[in-house]
Amino acid sequence: MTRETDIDSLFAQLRSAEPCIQDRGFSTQVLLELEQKAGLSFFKDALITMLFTLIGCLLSYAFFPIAEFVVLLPSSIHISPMSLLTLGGAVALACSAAYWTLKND
Amino acid sequence: MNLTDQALIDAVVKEDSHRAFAELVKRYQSPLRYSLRQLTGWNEALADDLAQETFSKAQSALSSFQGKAKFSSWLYRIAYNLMLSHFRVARNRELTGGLTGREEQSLWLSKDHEAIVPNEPLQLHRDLAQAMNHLSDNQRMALHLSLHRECTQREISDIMSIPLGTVKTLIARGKISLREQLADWKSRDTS
Repeated sequence: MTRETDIDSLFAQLRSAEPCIQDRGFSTQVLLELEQKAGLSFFKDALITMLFTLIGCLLSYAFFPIAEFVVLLPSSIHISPMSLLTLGGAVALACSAAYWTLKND
Repeated sequence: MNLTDQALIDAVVKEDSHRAFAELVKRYQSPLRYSLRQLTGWNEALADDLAQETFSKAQSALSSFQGKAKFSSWLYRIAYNLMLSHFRVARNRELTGGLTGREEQSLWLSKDHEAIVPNEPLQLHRDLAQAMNHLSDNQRMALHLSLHRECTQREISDIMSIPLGTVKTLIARGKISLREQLADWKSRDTS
């Protein structure tokens, strides 16, 4: 760099020669991104989610063999060290999965 | 459209006018993108990404703009916070070795002196951006706002959310570091 190294005059020189950066689609890109972000309104989004949840519930109620499922449930639960260990392991696994998901989000 | 910034902001907030926001973007895109290029070692892609994100955040937070400061100062505050956040994430990833190829390129391209095409009209701007890249993020921002944008120290203090005394120190130390950096370049050029 062979130019004057006095900081103030250097900045003054650059200030007076600041280039006007051409838009070249930048504004359009910003506005497009904003439109995409805006997407559906909160209420429309909530309405669609609720509608599909309701359909899901109705279908489950109509087709899920709940009686057969209830028969499979144990009438009593015996807590053993092994079942506690399994439960602990499952909780640890779920926590690790949640942590990993959040970290990589 | 010759409306004032405040009139455009009112139109965006009260009428959700896209045209008014488009006008604000057109009005400020060049100075903001230039400033971000200066602050990122003239990394054009990164600067444009940050500028885009700045306008996006500005649009969603425009209702909170109270008009106490200039709109440009408010934009610079958003841009500065985004830039700090970007560099923090990049440094953390660098430390943990988690950079992807594109991120690594985005982070380091600006530090590659060989990447500059010599004798361009923008050469001096690029040179300064490269030299400024050796300063801390705070020093770069304070120097740029003070010497290039001619903001007052009070304005810089507001934009960077730091005390006035710290602004003075950052500018003074930044000038010393930059002078050393430029002297080093000068000696390399003449040798």
